Amino acid sequence: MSEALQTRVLRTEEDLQAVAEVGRRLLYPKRVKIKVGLGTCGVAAGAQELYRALCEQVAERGLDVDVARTACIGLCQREPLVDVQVPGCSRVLYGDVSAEMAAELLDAVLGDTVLTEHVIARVDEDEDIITGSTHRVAAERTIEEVPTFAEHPFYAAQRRVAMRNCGIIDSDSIEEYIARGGYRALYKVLTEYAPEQVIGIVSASGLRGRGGGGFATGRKWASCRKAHGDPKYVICNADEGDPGAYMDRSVLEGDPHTVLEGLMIGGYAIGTGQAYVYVRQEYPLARQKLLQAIEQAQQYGLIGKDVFGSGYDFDVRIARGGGAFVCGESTALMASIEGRVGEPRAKHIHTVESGLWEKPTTLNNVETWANVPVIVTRGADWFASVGSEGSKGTKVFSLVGKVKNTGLVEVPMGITLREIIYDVGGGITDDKEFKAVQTGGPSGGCIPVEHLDLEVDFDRLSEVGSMMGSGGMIVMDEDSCMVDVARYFLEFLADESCGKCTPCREGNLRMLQILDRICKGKATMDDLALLEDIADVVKTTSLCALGKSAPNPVLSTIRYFRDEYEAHIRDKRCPAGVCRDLIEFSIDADACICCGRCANECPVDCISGQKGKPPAKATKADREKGKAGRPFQIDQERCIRCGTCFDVCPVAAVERT
Amino acid sequence: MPTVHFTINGEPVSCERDAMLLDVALAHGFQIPALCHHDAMEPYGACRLCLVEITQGKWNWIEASCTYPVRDDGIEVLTHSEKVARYRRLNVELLLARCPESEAVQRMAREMGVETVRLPADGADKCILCGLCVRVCEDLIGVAAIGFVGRGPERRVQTPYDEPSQVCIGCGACAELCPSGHIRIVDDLNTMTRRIEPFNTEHRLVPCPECGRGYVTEKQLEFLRRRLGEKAAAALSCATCRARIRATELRRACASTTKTL
Amino acid sequence: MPVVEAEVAAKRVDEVVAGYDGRKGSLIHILQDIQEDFAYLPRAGIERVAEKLDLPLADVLRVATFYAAFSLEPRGEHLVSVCLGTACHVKGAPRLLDAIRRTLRLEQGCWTTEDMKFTVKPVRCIGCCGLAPVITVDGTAYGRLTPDKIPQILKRYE
Repeated sequence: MSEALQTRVLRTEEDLQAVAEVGRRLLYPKRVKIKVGLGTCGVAAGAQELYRALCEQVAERGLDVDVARTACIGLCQREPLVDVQVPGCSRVLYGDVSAEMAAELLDAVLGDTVLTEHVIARVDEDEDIITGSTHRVAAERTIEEVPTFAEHPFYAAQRRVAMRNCGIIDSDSIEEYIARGGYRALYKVLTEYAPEQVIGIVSASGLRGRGGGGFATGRKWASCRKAHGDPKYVICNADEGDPGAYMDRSVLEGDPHTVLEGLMIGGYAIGTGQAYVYVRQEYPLARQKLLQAIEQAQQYGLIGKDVFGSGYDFDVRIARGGGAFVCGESTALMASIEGRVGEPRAKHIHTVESGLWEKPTTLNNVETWANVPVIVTRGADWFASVGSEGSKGTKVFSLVGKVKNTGLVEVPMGITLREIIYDVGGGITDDKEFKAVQTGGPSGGCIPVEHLDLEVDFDRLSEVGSMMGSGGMIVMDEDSCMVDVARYFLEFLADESCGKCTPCREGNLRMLQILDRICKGKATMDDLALLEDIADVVKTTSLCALGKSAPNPVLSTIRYFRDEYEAHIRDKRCPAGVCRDLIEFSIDADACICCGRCANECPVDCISGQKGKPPAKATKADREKGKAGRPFQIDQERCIRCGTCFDVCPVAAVERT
Repeated sequence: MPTVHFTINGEPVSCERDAMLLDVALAHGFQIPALCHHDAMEPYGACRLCLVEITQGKWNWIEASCTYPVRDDGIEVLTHSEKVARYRRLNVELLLARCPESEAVQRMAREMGVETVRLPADGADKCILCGLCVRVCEDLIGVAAIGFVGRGPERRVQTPYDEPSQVCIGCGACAELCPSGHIRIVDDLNTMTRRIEPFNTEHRLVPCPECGRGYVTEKQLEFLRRRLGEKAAAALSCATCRARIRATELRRACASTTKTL
Repeated sequence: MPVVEAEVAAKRVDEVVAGYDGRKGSLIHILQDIQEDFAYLPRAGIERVAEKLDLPLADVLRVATFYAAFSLEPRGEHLVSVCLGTACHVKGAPRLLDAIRRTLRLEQGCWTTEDMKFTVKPVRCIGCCGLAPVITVDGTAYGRLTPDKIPQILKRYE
């Protein structure tokens, strides 16, 4: 809810400060502020209804309460998430707040009590990462009974730099962005630094591309600056194609201005004022937020001609993806912006020399751009003080799958997988056995338990046959079949291949066919050898990175889980009980209590029996009255192995073999 | 343009900087198989048969030579090493599984020693998706009667909506370049029609004024007139008759000079 | 969504193309706008785009058939997108897809119901991985689903 301001072009530091003041009043009003997380995740969990219910309640009861919006707060597992800020007190985060709880929540807030079942953590102080200053939220008193974020296992190890504003500001408010140091870096750059100095700072920071390539950002900018061609272009890759990764979406929905500011700084450094943000077609909300942010920045003169009176002109356009994973690859992305199909080209001539419309182009990922303003204001040393030897700074991971705490986590590079999965993630759901963590999306691999103490950074992950990718981290447990996982990725890659070159187009399809046969128990050990051969030619001779990395899921699962492949092939058995053609469900007649739930739920009506008292307990009288039941049985011919009966049986009488 | 010096199979060669490795190798007499390559057009890099092994300092890798611009002195290129041969064979095996009936792919497979295909041969036709037909029609002829549709394994070449083409001129360049035998020009001199298979497109043939054989389509003649203006007159008889006419004129010319001598 | 008449499609294309005012690389944007308006790309629309942008028809079709966002076939009134991203897959998305197809009585190979009410489309990652498995109906996301919840959700759109 931005205050309607008489917007004018900002020219000086004082101008920025004035807007910051407005933003601060919005962030920390003198009345109760209840902030609802309305990112795509929150909305999917019902946060929109909660927001409306809160507004209605506030209006009905005539309360002086600010019902505000924010985007992703991070702990997606507990959506809908709500922040409650009473002036002078700790700010409290609540989770799993349904729309029906609106009245209850307001009561608790006004009655100065805490909803203990829903409370997650408290904030006493907000840090402005850009300037390093802090704002004391709990100026008068702290709510001791609620743990602080630093004490909460999900948040304790996290350090939010790229996501510094997500969940804190209303992403519709440029004033709030400016209140937290926004556009200060741009001002500094345009008034104090020459382009080469900016490149120097970014290089010294050690920032590496966060989209998957991990290429040294400073070096990329330097090459582009040196290249000949006019105009040059800066592009933000917001295609985020890795299934399971959604950090870019969250940054765009929660803090679109940081990307714009980063682009402007990068543009200035390489010598251009022309930018594109290429947004995935599946992210309409992110695109909408960006468009809005651009308009707001234009109104303040932060995008347009002669920004801050420096003579720097900047214009940014949004390009939309059309639903093609391959367009996350830089040359395909640029072809797509040009209105062509996303067919990659050989990269012997780099895009920094000849990219968009054959002009020198710098392409970086959303998260990379989001780090740039911070590097400029806090300096290269500050940024490099966190992270590992070869990978500086923090990285946002989407921790999903079979972990207790799923969500977006931003942690220093060099943290171990074990710390992420068990400390931050809280361990495996239902306390099952950890089996593997899949990183790097379809280009990455599966990492088994023996590498849990691996430090997470660009180089270490590659060493064990996986890669960082964009930061997707999918945790799998004993119930995941690794052959099925490999098959899943191949199906994805075969579908997304652009189809230009022989190895990727034909090879991925053939590998998928072989994996299909393995999952159906129709393969031989020769097939495994053939699979490895095809994986080799696809990896070595494909034209682009999609093809070259497509065999990684297969190769890494064969490397670490060969026994599972052999079980499928030799024994026609799926140890994890996933591959439908290799499992069978049957009902233990002795254990069956004849409740009939399985038959009710069975989607293909293949379970028959008689509801009533189980035979062991039925008396003669029961039988005479027709109250005796008959144990239920599954018709194996018609059973589709969906596992519903297995899930719903109250006494676990359904066996899976 | 500076010159680059390097070796192919141990032999010293040189070329202009940024020349494509395949072109350089072929020019020096080295044989490198390729299916999607043609001198008249930009390299495409699709078939992945023109692979070579390159060593540069401590780096060693496999590269598609048609799209590799030579920039560095001292690289060592091998066109038929064990490694390269293996990857070529695997790619041919993939193509053969796709197009078991294609004579060109069969021939290449034989030459490379690929005897069995370990994959189900389930391709629908002989198209290997080299793109030569699409590229020649769009880039050289400028008509774009056919194009790629779909993505990945669904990719195929067809006319818009798979219907007879409205813009095809029946020149047959696509068939001329098709390495696998998928595209065929079928001329029926009785009915004076030309069919472009498998694109479902038919044209009327124009008879040669000299011998009466149908030799060119109406649309192609029109196209030539538009493109060449007066010079299109040369196309008004069939190649055989043209050659005969020219030979006759030459003989006459020689005869008259000998007379004067 | 019903089949769109040729004149309607052509007229709309003219408007959209004019809106882009000859901007470089606008082909995909134009097609996306048409796709959004009609829920598919009518043939008349594609032909008109080729005409107005002076592009070979084969080129426009190449783009229209490459990107998953475009459909050359008319779509049902409601679009049910089933996320098949990794997190959703691991949390049972294939079973969800089965349940949806069963509830809508879709035959093997069909993705649109006969009465043109629903089209089911598997999509790659919507970005709600924390709430896997997720589906969207006409853009509204539903998370943490199990097959038994499907019938009630689809009923809302009947």
